[in-house]
Amino acid sequence: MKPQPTPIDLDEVAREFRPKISFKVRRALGGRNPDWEDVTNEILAQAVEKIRSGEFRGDSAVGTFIYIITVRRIADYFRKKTKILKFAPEPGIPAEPGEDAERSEDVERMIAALGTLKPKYKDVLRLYFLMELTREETAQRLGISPAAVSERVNYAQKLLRKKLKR
Amino acid sequence: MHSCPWENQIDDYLLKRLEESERDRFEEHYFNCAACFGALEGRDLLVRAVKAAGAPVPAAEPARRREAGIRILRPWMAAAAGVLVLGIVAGPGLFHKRAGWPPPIEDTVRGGAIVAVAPRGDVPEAPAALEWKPLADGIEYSVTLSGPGVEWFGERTRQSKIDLPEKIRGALRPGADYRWQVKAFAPQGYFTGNSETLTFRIAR
Repeated sequence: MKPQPTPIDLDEVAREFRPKISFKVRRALGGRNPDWEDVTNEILAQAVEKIRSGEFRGDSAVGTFIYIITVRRIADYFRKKTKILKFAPEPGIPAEPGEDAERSEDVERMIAALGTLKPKYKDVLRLYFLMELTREETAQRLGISPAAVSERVNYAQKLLRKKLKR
Repeated sequence: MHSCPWENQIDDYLLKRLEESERDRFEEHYFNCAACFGALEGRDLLVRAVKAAGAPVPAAEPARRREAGIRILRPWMAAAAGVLVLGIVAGPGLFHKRAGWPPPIEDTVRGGAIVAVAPRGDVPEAPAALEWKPLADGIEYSVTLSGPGVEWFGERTRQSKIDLPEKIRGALRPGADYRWQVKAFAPQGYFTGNSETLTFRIAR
């Protein structure tokens, strides 16, 4: 007898995928774009409806199914925006939004925690993430190995996580 | 939480270094992998905080910008900059363990520090060279180009243009997206800025 597919817990789907969808949507639209939350909700609603209606048959992973819905909805969003902007004197939406400079509470706390790091960790974070040097370039600048760059970045993150938990 | 082999793509993804197809594959992966998504969220917060804390000084004459730059900087960056300036003034003897320290932060800008000129966008044929606006005498530029058929092309020059070897030109595929970027290094060897990453595509 053919095994029955495991029924999908839609609440669990919403819980698991809302953060993933909103992460992708915010990166695509920009964190400052007020539409990101609505777009995320639409995507989640569409995904849940498709699963409930049986449109998702389990041929792919649920994550892949929802990812495809997400990408398509984002593309639709930009297509609609472009049509509107054609007739309005507004600047176009960039293909990739600029750095998201939104300052959530988490970011503010992290910035404060960054200030408490030793210089060797601040230096590596600045070169690697702010100046966007490659691992090898960062290593060369600091006179350490590329592997040591990764270790310092990871250790700095671990220290910061500890500080933020307090 | 167990680690996943895809985790080593997180930094490249967040810093927008992945090719489009790699980016799509990685995104699909984190939709299916709790370990990677958890690691991605954590790293994203760190990257956003570092970038927000160290917002670049606007391009201006270095002497005038110095004071304004420190005012704009976050306190922790300003403190680091202060120590750096001390190190340069005091000479290598005082900070011998910190040889090769980065330059004062106010002398370093991101993004639009170098203006990449061409190629960009759609081009009719494989470009013969990569060109950008020169910064100053004595600057050495490091240029990188990547895309389908070109695993990695990187060269250094003191000119504001680099001719693409025939082997590289021949490998460029019509319809494919190619990315290139220029970084500048002062005569003393330290990094001083980079261009935005430009994309071009050869018409089919």
